[in-house]
Amino acid sequence: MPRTYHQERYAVCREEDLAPGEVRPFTVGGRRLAVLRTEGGSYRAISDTCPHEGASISRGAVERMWTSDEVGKYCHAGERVVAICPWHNFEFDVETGLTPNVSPRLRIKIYRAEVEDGEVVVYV
Amino acid sequence: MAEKVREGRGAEKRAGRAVIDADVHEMFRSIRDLAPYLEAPWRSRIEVADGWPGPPGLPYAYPQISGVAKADAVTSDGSPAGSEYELVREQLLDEYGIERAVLTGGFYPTEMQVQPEFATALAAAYNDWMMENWLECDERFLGSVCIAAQDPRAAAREIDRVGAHPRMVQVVLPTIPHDTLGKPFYGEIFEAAVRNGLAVAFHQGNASATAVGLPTYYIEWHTAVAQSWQSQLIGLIAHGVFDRHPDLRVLMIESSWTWVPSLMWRFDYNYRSLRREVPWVKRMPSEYIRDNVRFTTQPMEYPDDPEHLYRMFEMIGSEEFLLFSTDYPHWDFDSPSQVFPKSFPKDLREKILSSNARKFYDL
Ligand code: FES
Repeated sequence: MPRTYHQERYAVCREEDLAPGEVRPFTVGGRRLAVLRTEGGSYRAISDTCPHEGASISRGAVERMWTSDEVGKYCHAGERVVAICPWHNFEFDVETGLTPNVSPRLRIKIYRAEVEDGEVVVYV
Repeated sequence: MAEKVREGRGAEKRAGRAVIDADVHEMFRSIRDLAPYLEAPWRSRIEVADGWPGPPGLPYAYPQISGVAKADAVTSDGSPAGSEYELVREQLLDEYGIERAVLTGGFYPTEMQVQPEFATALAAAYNDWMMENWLECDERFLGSVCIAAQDPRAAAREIDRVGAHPRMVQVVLPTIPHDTLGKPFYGEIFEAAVRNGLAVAFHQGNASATAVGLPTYYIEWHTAVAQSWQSQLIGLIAHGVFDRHPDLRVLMIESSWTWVPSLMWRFDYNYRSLRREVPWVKRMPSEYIRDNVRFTTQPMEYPDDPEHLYRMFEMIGSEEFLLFSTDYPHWDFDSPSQVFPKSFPKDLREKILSSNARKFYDL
């Protein structure tokens, strides 16, 4: 979990400003963040800078993570959601910042995001 | 030259070094050797005059001085090198003090694209011939189960039939150019191998090809044919074979191995990008390779700076990764006493020469 002390609170938009599955960039406290709304309706904030080669994550996509137990079959991995980079399509789990099943060499930074009084608020 | 050979006689044994050879080719003199092991209607197909002549060979005319054979392994009566047990014993087993030699054949009915029932019958006949004429000759021999993978159910039955032989250690498959053997269609073969405690080995066959098929010259084919193992290895992982069979052991024989680090890097990178296409693959591709796949040493690379070769080995990240092999009786044979550059530490050489194979095959 992100640490909650020494963090500044920033309201970035109204909750209805983001559609389910949408991701948008915001600059707060001198940092570029990608703030997203999952299809399940929760909000997440991660760095907008891909740790691989620096693409803007908010130009990519957000989707429920795919998994499977059988060749040729596709299903969703519970409620897990990944952000997909627009360049090389690396996936980043929005809860952990890690690429699924991959050793943690690249981890995208995650930030705390909440809905407070109808506003999407991030703590940086 | 002859002096040198005598000097080396039994040298490994005298030096107290155990050697397990993971690639020795036992050959029949002609396809007719299998006739006694075939039932009707298949027996007559090869017994009649002008019957089936056997599978096609590699289409190249070998430019080597003794064709595909090492020149001192040719037989006196002109039958294929590797078809006389006494010569194999003298030139390989006794010469180098080989503790165990894994027979890998040279006849792979999986390559036949017609008459699958005939191919299945030939595979069974080959196993019976091999067990009677080779495994029973010398306790140092270990066997590979020959199958016709195009009928996976029949192939699995054949693995069950002969896989219980105490000296059968693996199923051998050729690196065919027309399909990837990791597809679920072939799943029963891997199930049967695991059920019988056997590894699955891949070796080139006479149908193996490069990314451009058959290039003009043999030297082109011989340089590029590692692509055929690469495609099969990638296919095993992409089709989830190791996810279905976490204990499956796979051996790549004669594929060369210095390409493995770059394949692992490329495959892992692609997995980060393209995992969504194959979500049944649960681990990084390089992890399956390190944990489940082994390679044989021959044909060993020969860089100007031997240190470079050792660095390639280190990049793979597993000391258990290589099993020594000679490829007797073929022209590109590697000698156990000469093949390692000094850059390979002594204890690592010992592992590669025997203990890695002992562990892999549970000997
Ligand atoms: S820049 Fe994001 S995956 Fe390469």
